[in-house]
Amino acid sequence: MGTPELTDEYDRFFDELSRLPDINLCIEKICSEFKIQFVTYHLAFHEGKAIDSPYVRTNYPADWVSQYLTNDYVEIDPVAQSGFKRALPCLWSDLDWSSDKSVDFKNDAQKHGIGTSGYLVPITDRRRRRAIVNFASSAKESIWSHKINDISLLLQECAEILHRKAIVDLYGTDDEKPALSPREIQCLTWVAQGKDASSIGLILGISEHTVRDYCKSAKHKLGCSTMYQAIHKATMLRLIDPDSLN
Amino acid sequence: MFFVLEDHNRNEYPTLYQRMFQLRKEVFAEQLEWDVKLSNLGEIDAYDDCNPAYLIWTNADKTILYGCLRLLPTTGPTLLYDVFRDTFPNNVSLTAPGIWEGTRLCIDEKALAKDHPAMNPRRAFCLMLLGLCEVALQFKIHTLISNYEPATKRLYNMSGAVLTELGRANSYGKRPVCAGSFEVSQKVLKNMRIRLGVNHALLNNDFPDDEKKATQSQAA
Repeated sequence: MGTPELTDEYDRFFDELSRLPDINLCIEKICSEFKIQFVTYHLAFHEGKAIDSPYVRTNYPADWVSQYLTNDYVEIDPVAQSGFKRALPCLWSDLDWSSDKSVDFKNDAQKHGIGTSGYLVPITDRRRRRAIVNFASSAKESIWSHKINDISLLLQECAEILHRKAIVDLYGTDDEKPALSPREIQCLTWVAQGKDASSIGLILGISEHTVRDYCKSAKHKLGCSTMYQAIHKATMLRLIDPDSLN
Repeated sequence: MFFVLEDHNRNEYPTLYQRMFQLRKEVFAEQLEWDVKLSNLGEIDAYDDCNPAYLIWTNADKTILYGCLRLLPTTGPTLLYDVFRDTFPNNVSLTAPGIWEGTRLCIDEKALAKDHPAMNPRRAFCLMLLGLCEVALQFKIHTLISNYEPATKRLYNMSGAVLTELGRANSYGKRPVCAGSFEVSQKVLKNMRIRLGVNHALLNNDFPDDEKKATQSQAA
């Protein structure tokens, strides 16, 4: 558990997810795949002023969103309050809900059919843009925390995909052509030749785990969700030449 | 007590933060003579402003700092990516969820000697690595990237951690500095606990009484 394979059962899901034309469709797909009630993506525009004119996409019902805005719940909600100061993902139950105001807020959320079990994934990208992605459920906390233990790395991956979608949505384009390191290029090239991680490790004289890290990193830098996409994109961008080994 | 500090609980532990930056100054600037930026608060750089998480080791009531380390996700700005990229164009640009950077690992030898006289600094360093492994597992981090001096690699080996050297730079200070990756898994954790004679979780636990025994039997 924990170590990602070069390809895995979620490849197809991430592939489809990243091809969806709209961030709201991504949110729906994540919800149905992982049986999660609500997903919210929240990008802070100004560093240090987390709450100022944010970019938010959510499938929360409209009445809850307006209730949240009219009551200025962002000033009370522990998720919004501490989310932008965090580095590590956490369960909502790990947040500080001790104040009276946050208890009232929680009750009001429940009244609007919003579950109070949740998982918060903070994002900081290379350009220091900060976002938080929240996954919410009405499942009991004990069931929810088990579930999160199993799927948290997958949800972190989903959060990164939502962030990429949001950046493209806002700025019209992905970031610049990625700088792959020579090792990442070697690994991708061998994957394109059909080699698995352990063979590549033997060829390059590095561990299988390190091969996976290079592949995962290359995939991330290319903005791809699967190795197939990554190889395709790297080939199109002429970052790798799969025939060079022949 | 080993625990994680993040910006949202910074106000609860102002003295630990102060001490941490001072300790980093003592260790990295004064002892290791690394070319690090200093202010009157101690050794603080731009990455301390990027909302990092810190692994902190203190006494039971969290008033005396024994050790610290800074954790940053490689999907955001990281020290190794920015600083070492030119030196190791090949290797330290790993970027993905699940891969994090651990830097500025240091131990307050004086504070430890006072409170845990039987424990030598090498064992203390190894315990920090074990704590780091626990934190990583908890947050589904499968790989940690770190920088260290060549001699420190022995400590990683001693602790049972699986460290892969990715490259080294000669121009960073008095001695070469290496960058490496540290694999994290349940297997690695088990191996580290056996090597270090620790049979309990360090994270969020009071430091156990049996540590004295383990320290003596290890004689590391």
